Amino acid sequence: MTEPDSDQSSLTPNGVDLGIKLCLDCHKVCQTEDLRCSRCGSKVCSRKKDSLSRCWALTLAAALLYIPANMLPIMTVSRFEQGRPDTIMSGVMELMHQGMVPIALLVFTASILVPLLKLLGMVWLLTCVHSGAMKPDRQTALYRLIVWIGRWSMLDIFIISILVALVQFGQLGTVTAGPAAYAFAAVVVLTMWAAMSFDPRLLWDQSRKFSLKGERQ
Amino acid sequence: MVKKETILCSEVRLCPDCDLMLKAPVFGKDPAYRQQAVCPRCSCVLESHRPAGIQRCLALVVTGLLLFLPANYYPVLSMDILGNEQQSTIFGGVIALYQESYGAISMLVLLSAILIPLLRLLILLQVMVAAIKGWGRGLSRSLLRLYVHLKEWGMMEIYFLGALVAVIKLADMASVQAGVGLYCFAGLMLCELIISLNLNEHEIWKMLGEGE
Repeated sequence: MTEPDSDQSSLTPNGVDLGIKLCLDCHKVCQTEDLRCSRCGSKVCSRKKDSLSRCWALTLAAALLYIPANMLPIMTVSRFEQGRPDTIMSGVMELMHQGMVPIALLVFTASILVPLLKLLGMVWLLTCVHSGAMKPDRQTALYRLIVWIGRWSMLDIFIISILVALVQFGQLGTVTAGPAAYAFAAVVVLTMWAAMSFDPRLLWDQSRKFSLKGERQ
Repeated sequence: MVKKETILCSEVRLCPDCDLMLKAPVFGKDPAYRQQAVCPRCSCVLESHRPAGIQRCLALVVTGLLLFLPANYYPVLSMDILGNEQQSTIFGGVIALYQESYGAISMLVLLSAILIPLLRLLILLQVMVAAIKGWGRGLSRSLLRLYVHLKEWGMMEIYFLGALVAVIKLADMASVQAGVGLYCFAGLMLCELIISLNLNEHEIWKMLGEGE
């Protein structure tokens, strides 16, 4: 099983079979023996190191923090000394009531839907690598979507930073941040890290391993 | 199986997403088009090329650096309730969060909206001057590596969207106005966007050469 079929590998020659590997920083092709890239000096591995365990750990940590991020108040808007702490969801609802449906949908997507789908997507990709249920082209596309979309969840953090600085009118109105901001920022950063530590090439390795197994049986 | 000895690393590419070995792409010289090399197996964009991209990028980097100062000096938004006016710069948001003892989050905003975008522009300036003139190539290779690593963490376009949402959120509470800072910030953001469309990292890596 260590040697792949010769026709399979000549049709789709993978770097790992040919004794070459890619530097992910500068995209130089290096020999398998090289420890560091001769051009940019970064460490070169054929596959990202401990990709699956790192990715699981970061995804699970983010999933745990997703709970306080949604339960605790994320900011408090007070007018005439009366403060009402808002969670992410109640903030969205309030925007809906004010008739700003598109903005409410935008905030809902960026703050609730995207982190949730990202977590589910990462778990899905990881279970696929473990179980071998492979459609690697689609899964790679999903991975690229997760990487691209993840940063947009920072939207809420930036909105808070702007409101907290701007709305300081004493009795007339103030905005203060809430503890969920910490949890939410951690979710965004951890899911970004999780996506970066995942190696999509594992999807292709697995798919090839399982298709070879299928042919042999 | 292909013999190891036959593989000349300068003539092949490996797809970063699926590890497929491919021939290095050759691009045409017509400057009107942006050309892309795409992996046939997983459709990962391997290289995106635009002739004279470096000159375009250099011009945009200088524009971006010039816009950076007003974007951070002038207020982004100003707001008026019953004659009380309040304005805030981007850095003002960082300070406000810090004073409310949200230090880690204020750091995150400081990095992703101010420092990393600035650092990436400065790195690009040094790297492109090095690529064209050949000064300090070793340093530039390390810097370009940092630039690649910081790609995900510069979030100007998201901050801009956040400012727009904040304007709409506050609209019923008071009269809100976009300041000079926000317009400059939008320009800065556009510069960065067009840079990312024109920058061919492979080409620059090639121009920077290899060690000793």
